[in-house]
Amino acid sequence: MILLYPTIVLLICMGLYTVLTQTNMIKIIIGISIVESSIILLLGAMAYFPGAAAPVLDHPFELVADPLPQALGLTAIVINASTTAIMLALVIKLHNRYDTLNIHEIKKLRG
Amino acid sequence: MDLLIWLIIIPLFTIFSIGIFNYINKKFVLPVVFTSAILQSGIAIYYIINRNNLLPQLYNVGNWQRDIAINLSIDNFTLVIFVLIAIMPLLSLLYSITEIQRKPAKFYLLINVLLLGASGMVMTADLFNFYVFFEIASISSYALVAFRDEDISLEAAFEYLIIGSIGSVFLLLGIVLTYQATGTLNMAMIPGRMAEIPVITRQVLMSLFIIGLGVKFALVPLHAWMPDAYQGSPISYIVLSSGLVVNVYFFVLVRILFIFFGVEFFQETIFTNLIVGWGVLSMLFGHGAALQQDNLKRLFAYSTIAQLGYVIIAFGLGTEAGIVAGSFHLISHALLKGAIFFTAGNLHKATGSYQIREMKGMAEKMPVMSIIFVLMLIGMVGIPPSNIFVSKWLILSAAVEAGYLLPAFMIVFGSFLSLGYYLRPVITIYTGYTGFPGKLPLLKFNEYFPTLLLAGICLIIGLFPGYILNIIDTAPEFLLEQSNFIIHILGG
Amino acid sequence: MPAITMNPGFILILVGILSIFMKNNKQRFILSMAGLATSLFIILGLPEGERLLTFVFLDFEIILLEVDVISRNIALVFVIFGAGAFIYSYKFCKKKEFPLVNFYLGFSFMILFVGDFISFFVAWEIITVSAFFLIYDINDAVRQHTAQYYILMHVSGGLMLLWGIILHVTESGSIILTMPERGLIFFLISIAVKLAFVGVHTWLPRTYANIPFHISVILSAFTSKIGVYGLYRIIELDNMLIAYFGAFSAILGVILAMTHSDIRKILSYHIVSQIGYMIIGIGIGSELGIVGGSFHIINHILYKGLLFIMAGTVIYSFGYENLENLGGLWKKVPITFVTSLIAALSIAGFPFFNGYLSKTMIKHSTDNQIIYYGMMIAGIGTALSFIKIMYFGFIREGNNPPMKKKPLFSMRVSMVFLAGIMMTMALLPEQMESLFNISTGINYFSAYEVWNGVQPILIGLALFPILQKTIEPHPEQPIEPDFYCDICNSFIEFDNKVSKIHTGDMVRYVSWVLFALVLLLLNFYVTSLF
Repeated sequence: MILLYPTIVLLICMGLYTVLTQTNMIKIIIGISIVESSIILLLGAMAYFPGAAAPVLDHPFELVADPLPQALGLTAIVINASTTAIMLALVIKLHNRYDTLNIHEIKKLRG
Repeated sequence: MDLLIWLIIIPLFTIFSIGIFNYINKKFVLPVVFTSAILQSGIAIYYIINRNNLLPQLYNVGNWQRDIAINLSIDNFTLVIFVLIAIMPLLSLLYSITEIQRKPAKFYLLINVLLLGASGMVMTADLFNFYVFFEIASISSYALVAFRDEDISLEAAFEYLIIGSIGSVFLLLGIVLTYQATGTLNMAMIPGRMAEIPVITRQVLMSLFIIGLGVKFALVPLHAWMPDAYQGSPISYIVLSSGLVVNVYFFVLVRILFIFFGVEFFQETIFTNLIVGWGVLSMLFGHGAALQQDNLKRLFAYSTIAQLGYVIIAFGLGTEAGIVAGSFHLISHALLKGAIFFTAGNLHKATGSYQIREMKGMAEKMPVMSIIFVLMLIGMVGIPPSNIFVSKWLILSAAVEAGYLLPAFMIVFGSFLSLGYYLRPVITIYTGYTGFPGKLPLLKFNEYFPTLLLAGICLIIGLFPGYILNIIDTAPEFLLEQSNFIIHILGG
Repeated sequence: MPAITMNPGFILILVGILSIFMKNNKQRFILSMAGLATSLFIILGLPEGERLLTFVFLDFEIILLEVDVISRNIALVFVIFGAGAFIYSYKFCKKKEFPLVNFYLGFSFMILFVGDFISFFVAWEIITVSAFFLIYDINDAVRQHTAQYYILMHVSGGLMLLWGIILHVTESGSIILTMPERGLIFFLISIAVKLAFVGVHTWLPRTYANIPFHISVILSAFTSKIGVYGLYRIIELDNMLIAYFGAFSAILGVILAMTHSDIRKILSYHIVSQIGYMIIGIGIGSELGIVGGSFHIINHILYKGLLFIMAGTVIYSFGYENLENLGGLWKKVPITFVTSLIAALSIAGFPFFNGYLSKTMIKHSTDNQIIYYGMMIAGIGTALSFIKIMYFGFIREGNNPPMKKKPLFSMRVSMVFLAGIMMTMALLPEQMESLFNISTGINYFSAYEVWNGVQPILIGLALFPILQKTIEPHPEQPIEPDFYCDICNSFIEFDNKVSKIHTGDMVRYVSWVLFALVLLLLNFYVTSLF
């Protein structure tokens, strides 16, 4: 548990580092996914506390994990999935047009 | 009557029916789209007209308890955006009839998703739904930027997508940490609990919200996607973006900052100075970069960045006069910039290019459009009787009253810079040249009507600013007084 | 006679709108003259000293009509000169120029009668914009450049005015046109640009020498006078410093004028110089000084307008305006010669011509020796440069250029008309004084005053043979880059370097986002330490 929050911070930094240093577009997308996933991890970590059961109310519980972060986490996962899908679709299109996956070679817009 | 929820239902319903009708019979798509757009405008106008009896209004989706319910609310500050919702989408769709020849149904679908997201963001009263609507609007924006399917559109869309994703990650982080710190996502319950948490935590949250939303309304230095995206996307989308969506993002940020943290907090932590200074930076940078552009769309994108800088300065003052002035500039800039983009699109019809130097001699070919274009550009500088003059007057006097003399003077200097770059297209268009190949296409009704209507509205606002000021002059009540907003959402 | 309480500017603005729909120049001309006649009728019936036509705009009270003696008299001269200019130019005006000139005139009239800062600013800016369109030409790169220079200069002045007004209004809470409580310097800068004070005068010769002559006639008569009128309305202080600046402007203007040889450039620099006299009068601040200054405005509109008309006629008939190419014109265009001689004598302040009256008034309004000798030197310079124009252009038997076109009848009519008005004014000093509701007691035609007036001209005549070699005509460039162009260019260069940071590299843009976040957090951290 103690290591959870440092791990999340580390993951975010790793993801951002990937975005900043990689030249391959797919790798950049992976970097963004890492950042997004780490925030979902944060959401899950927030909802959990020791001894809590899942918030499914079919029989009585004393301790229930907070359902709101989990709902938010689920929404975020869906959104991330669709964003990633658009990114990958664009990468395919860009690869067809520019014939490269190197982000530094896609520079028609400037100024 | 609870018409609020219909601003969400109508676009949703339209999205599905476009899909169905596109499959059954393509003839029905346009009528459906326009019926829905007219209905949305109608609802917005209904609220604007009956603002004294109806506002503030709350719609409780599902009739839960108010503190855990999904609330849609509309108050006097929301009207600032409702003015734009009433005007911009309809005209933008009207313009798109001829502009979007390829896969129009998809375009209308995406536009409706965008409108859904925008209306939702404006009205929602909890952060969870706000995040959902935010992403709905963002994703449809990414798709719309790529819509023209040219090299530059795809590149711009990818760029926007990367920067936008980073931004929305920070926004989500901000929302999550807000929940962590306060234990609620209801926008009305956050302020009370926010006051109890340490100052530095509040500042971190504030930074995350500013960066997350600042990316979307192109706050310098988060602006880089905007000129690229505008260069690659269709005019109808640009008008909707710079005329409505960008303003919505800004509006939401203002609401979050003012409601969650409160004006007193800004003044305590010298945040006011920071945000005013940032506005000045945004404005000068936008104007400076626009001076170098050779592409009309890029030029106006940078100009939009700069104009939002004025709005940031005005809201950053944190005074009542500043908020009214900022709201007025938000509206008048959106309308005038919309008209300018439409005109640029009309001129583009003749030349087939947005490069300024290829528009040489347009004035002899399209005299009416050219003269409107020139007058609007000069109006954009703030020469009376344009509406920008009134808004600059308001912003300047608000800033001077609040004691921000240097930023106010920078606004004056920025206006001068803007004249510098608006003159270039003017001079190029009004240069004798007879090298146009072939015949000019005739402008259709749906191309010149939106232009003239918007230009006319701008002129009317410039001459009689009271019409707009009457709508927005109660807006500060729901921003500066957190308790008004809280009571409105949670009940007495 | 039933008086119409109406700002006469609105009539001309209306005429401007209507003239868009007219078929030919004759109809537009008749319409414009009818507009001027209506304004004349309205001006004569306007009640003095009342604030009329008020309405509320942004919680401020707009006053569209507030008349005093000086604004009424200036408006009368505006009408007279406007009529003269329309008669002069209607035959060869282009279609777009009629509405624009009418707008220009209309807002110039309007600014004379408004009583609050907002409408003052509105008129001030629209005058600039309509002048921009008048200067602009679709086929002429030089005029495009000139128009750009003009509007940038004037809008920067206008923005200074806006800034000053904002400072004043937030301080005082009222927009009534009066002496500003704060930000006086910004008002002064703005007015200095409009009236082409030395230092910011560069737009004036550049503009008036590069546009068609009939437009320079209109612009030269009104633009800078509106600046002087603004000075009179806004600055109410008897500040000798302003008077010294005026004297400085007067002297520098003539010196610059003498070094040029395009007729219109000389005339343009003379505007700078003559404006100096008006500033002296207003800066002295006594009633006599102010009346003298504004009387000088009136005279100046007439004679400088007539001189520009002369320049226009010369260009029209001979195709040249550099004195180098001219000579011996007096035989070919005698009417032009005589009328412009009248105007030249007037501007030099020769007794029995109208510039003499106002110059004498200004001289009498102060005992200050510096001002007196300043005006003396400026007078000598004025005399010299007009001897230069008259000698090299009309009298000298040099390269006699062939006459391409005879001056039109309408041109001659307008010249005679304006010269006649001037001479009438010059010979009726008492009536002129009563028009300004003032009685000075100066005996304009006494031997002492006449001698005083003749002095500078005699000195000029004596100096002319000596200086003839130095001020001899020489060829000139239409546009010379100046200080302001250099500033603009270096700014654009710097700006170009800054905007090069948009390299199209997405990673770089993402790093800006992170950088902004880090900076923001760092800022909060640092501020929390204190």
